[in-house]
Amino acid sequence: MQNVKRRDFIKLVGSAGAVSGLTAMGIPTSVLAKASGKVVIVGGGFGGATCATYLKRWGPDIDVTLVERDSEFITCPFSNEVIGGNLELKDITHSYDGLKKRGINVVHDEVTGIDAGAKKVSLKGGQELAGDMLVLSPGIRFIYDRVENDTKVEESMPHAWKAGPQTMLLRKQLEAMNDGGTVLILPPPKPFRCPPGPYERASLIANYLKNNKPKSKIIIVDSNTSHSKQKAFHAAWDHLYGLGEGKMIQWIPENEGGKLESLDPGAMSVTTTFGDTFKGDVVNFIPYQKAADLVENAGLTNKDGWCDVNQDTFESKVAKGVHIIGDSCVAGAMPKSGHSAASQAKNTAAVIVSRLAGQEPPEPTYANTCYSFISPDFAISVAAVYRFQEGSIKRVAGGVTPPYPEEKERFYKNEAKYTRGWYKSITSEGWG
Amino acid sequence: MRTLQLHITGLVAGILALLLISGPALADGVSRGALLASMCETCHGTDGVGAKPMQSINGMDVKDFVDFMKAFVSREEASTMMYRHAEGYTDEEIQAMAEYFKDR
Repeated sequence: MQNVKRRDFIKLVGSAGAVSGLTAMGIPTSVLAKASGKVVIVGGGFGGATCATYLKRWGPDIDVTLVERDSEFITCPFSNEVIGGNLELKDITHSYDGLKKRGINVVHDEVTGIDAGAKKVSLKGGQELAGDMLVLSPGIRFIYDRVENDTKVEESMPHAWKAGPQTMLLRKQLEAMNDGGTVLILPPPKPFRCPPGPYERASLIANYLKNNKPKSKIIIVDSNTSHSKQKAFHAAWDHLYGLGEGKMIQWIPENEGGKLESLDPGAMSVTTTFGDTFKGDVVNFIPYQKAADLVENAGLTNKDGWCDVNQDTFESKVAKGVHIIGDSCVAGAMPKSGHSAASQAKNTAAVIVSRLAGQEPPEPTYANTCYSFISPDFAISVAAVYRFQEGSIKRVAGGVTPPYPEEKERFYKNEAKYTRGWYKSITSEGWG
Repeated sequence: MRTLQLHITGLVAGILALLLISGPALADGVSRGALLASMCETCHGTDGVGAKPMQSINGMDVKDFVDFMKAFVSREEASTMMYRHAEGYTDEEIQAMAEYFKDR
């Protein structure tokens, strides 16, 4: 205190001198430390883009580099709207210019290797990027050979589970189908990206068929005994399209003969373990999934093929300073959704900014919201809030839209409006 | 000199308090309030200003924010989605969110 002179007083008032001045006052600088350092993010989807945004927002001095193979991002959310003919691919395509404007270095290159120990990634172009911390948000890979003959069916039985050319292929096949045709949707066993996705897809294809090819049918041959938002989906299908054998939508769960044995892409048919064969004019085979090759090859996956992380910090259980978020990580009760990935991204950004500033990260908090269109004017949702309890992420609140007609028609109509609002907000947050 | 010292002490305490309550903008750490608020921002937009028809929640009176959140849970305030989110947070957490958005 004795050493504080008039010039120090002036320094204290100016923000640049605040930290040194406070040190002189005996106040620990850690309280006010600036977060600085270098973070390399792999993957420019919901997880990666949101993490980059929040790292820069909360730690403006942090050097943030995001590596993404593609020059644009096409979202899986709302790609069922493209398949159903209500939107075009350009409506769900986002450039990375917004991230660049936020001061993030966006590198468009393919990651060829990750050295988790050295926190370094190698790029196809020959460049190597090292960070004080890595954030990996690489998404999923497809696992074949689960079903006989499933390896080379991407063209004949498109998955459309990564948005882009596959989305358009499935759309074109639906457009080419005659009225009275059959569409088969074949969801994989859980866990998979976007648990309500196959059922929203059935809904929006049904909407297209109802308006254009009303004699057609959809059969969901499901490798699961139950599915996301099941009661709400089924009630809405019954209301808008008809549900059951001979109706527009039929759902066959695993325990009633939905488990796949083999595919025959030549005959456009599938055979189940019950011995039944279903023929389709359009077949949407969604392959079994695990974490992306990048994290598998880097030794960051568990025996089931997903990445174990400390669920409060998303730091890998096997690599310090390497955070793994989004579809590829095991995140307790959280589903594999874009909203979950964004929520995990914010928690991870908070952990990294705090650690780089020499502070304790805030207590984690997580949320998810998944809307599903039944038609462009009718939607349902599931939402939840989660907490970190006893070592994992637990659901503490939330629920599914009450099945129709527990709420008035208007409720579901409003949910459809909010679905579009959700998409605009979350994509603005991610890509600007 | 002694008077000046007292002035400085008071001023520094003021600056420090300002830095701490202002959250990430100045202190550059991440407050619990900022992280909680970021969960709202996914739908309601950065700083609580998002795409329509989502309600903008920036600049709202703290008491009003808290009142809405409680009324969503009790279902006195009609909502399609908020009743499911609001029940997941403690009074203290709702207060922290409200204080964060008040100044945006």
